Amino acid sequence: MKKLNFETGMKKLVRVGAAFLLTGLMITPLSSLFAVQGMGAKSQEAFLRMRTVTFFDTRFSFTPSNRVKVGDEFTCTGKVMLMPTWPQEIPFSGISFFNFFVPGPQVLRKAIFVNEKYFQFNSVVLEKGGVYEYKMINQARTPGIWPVGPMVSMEEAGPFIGPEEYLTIEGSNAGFTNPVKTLLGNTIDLENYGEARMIMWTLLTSAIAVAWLIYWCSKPFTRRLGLVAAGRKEDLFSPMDRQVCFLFTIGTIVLVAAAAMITKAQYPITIPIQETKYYIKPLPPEPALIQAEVTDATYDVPGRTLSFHIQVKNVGDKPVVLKEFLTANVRFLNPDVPGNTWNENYPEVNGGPMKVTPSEPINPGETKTLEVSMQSAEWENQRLTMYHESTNRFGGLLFFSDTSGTRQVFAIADQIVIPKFGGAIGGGM
Amino acid sequence: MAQATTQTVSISIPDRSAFSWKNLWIALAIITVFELAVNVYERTFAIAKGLDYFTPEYQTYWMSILYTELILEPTTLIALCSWLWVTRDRAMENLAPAEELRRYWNLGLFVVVYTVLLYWGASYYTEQDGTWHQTVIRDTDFTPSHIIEFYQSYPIYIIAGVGSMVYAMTRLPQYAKAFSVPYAVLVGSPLMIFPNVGLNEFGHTRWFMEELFVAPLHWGFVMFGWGALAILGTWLQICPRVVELIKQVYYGKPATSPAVVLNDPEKAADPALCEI
Repeated sequence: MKKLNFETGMKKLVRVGAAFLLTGLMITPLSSLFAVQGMGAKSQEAFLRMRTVTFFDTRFSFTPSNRVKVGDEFTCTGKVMLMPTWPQEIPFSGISFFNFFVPGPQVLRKAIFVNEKYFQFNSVVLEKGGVYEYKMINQARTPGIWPVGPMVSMEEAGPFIGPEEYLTIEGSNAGFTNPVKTLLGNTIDLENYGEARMIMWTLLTSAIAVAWLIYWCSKPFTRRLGLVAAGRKEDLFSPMDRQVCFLFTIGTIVLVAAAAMITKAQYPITIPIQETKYYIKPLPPEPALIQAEVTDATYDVPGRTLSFHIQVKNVGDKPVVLKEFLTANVRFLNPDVPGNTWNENYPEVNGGPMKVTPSEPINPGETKTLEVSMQSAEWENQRLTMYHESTNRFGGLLFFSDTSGTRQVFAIADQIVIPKFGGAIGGGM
Repeated sequence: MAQATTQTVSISIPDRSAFSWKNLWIALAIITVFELAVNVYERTFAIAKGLDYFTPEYQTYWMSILYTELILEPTTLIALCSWLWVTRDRAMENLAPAEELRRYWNLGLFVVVYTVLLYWGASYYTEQDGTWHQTVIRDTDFTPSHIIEFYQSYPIYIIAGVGSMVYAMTRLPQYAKAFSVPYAVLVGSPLMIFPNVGLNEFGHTRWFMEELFVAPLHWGFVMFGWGALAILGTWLQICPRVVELIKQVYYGKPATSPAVVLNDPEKAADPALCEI
């Protein structure tokens, strides 16, 4: 067997590794060409997506082209409802943060408004059953194709994401700046503000740590074990060691104190990190058109159909129709309502038609039991089938409308679903 | 305290090549190239192909890696431990001092490789996963980050750790018949991070918590990770024997015979042996 020449082998290894790394780094900038998928919300349980936070009326200002240039600002607007009955498996704190999801810092968040109240850094406290309107102003930062959308993160419960769109950011981010005006009137670029200072301190403190380690680790370890065994502990530390310890201790304290004083002199006016939470009242309730109650629900597994009965009483003064069901960013429209057609600019998933029987409007004062049925492959595609989850319940928003266009949103938050597997499925006695 | 002695034995100084760094550098070069390649792959395909489990691309670019890992890793562990066992020293009581010293050297190199792999897994890729969670939504079992962190880098360092321990048990008298607690903790504690992954995934799919680094569900990772500090105890056990062997091999001083060490390894761990 030929003996491996170590130096030759190492050279080959380095060459191959460098070639591989270089190839990878050349390919990496092209990675955005491959992006044709979402943020993977489908991997979350159905009840988590259907019964917590429901986003509706979502609009992106960049539609229908879905293209912006680096530096362009765009908005995302819409509403969210925190479902009135929250799943017991998911903690509810109400302390939430409206955010804009995107994989990595590809856009800048310039401003966020919730119920027209501006906030940028603080969390807001939301209530179960509340509806909140938001507006997010963002700026494109990094070229590529990115899945983006609104998101609400709740303390203890985690993130809940809204409908997504693929945004193509064109151009180059060379020379991109993020100037902000401080309270003192200075303009700074947040793209690189404080970078040099951060690197300097990291290197300096790391160097101190390395010097400390080198000093002690360079002493003969095993011989010192012998000194311990021999009971000669006084030999372990020389006067020089004590002086070094003293220097490091005092030097570190002086360095930190001096740095604090210098920094304070450089920046005499500072404000502490703000911990305030905004208590934002939900939007006032919409005018009541109906009172409703879901009486039962089934999911036909082989037929991929969710059906439920809902008893609806029209308490308004105009006829009312059921226009839409929205759950987990999937919309089902009632085709029997004139003009109620799908718009390609909707960021949600098109679930297909919602069959409402009887299809006639509910007149004022009238009470009707409607059978709502939605047969759709999206129940499976979006993994919204509830029959194999630990809580067999569904939720979503029903949108009722009267002839004047007034809308009422009705939340189904905690309705048990009975699965129907069909006669030919499974065994049994 | 060891007794002073004037007795000497014949010296047979081993060739310097017995204590070569070469294998370590080769191993570290392979690890470095491998991890850089993994990083390039992650940066190329994590966001491009790894955001939606339900796409065919995800199955191609990520699940295929997971399935490969799940086949290769146990196979490697079984093969390595089997080979170390089959080629074990069956007459350790007759082990020559120079050869024993050489094996301690090899064990040291093995442990260095283990610690480097442990760094990649429990530090680098774990921190990277924290970054992933700040970027992408709630935790799921098989994210691109987890496929590399949990199911690649953790098993790899576990294979190295267990392999090093089996090496010690099959080739060194000090470890052949007795169980070293610090060494077991050094290998076993970071190993227990892997079962903790199971608990972590169960928790994330049952309690729907916020992906908070300091969540109690994550404490096990930290606790088991700190178990790597048992390396200090391991060296404390090893160093006296190594010093004793050095004194025997290079200075002709008498040393405890391998047969005695086999039956009473504590004798070989006496710090008094470190006196020079």
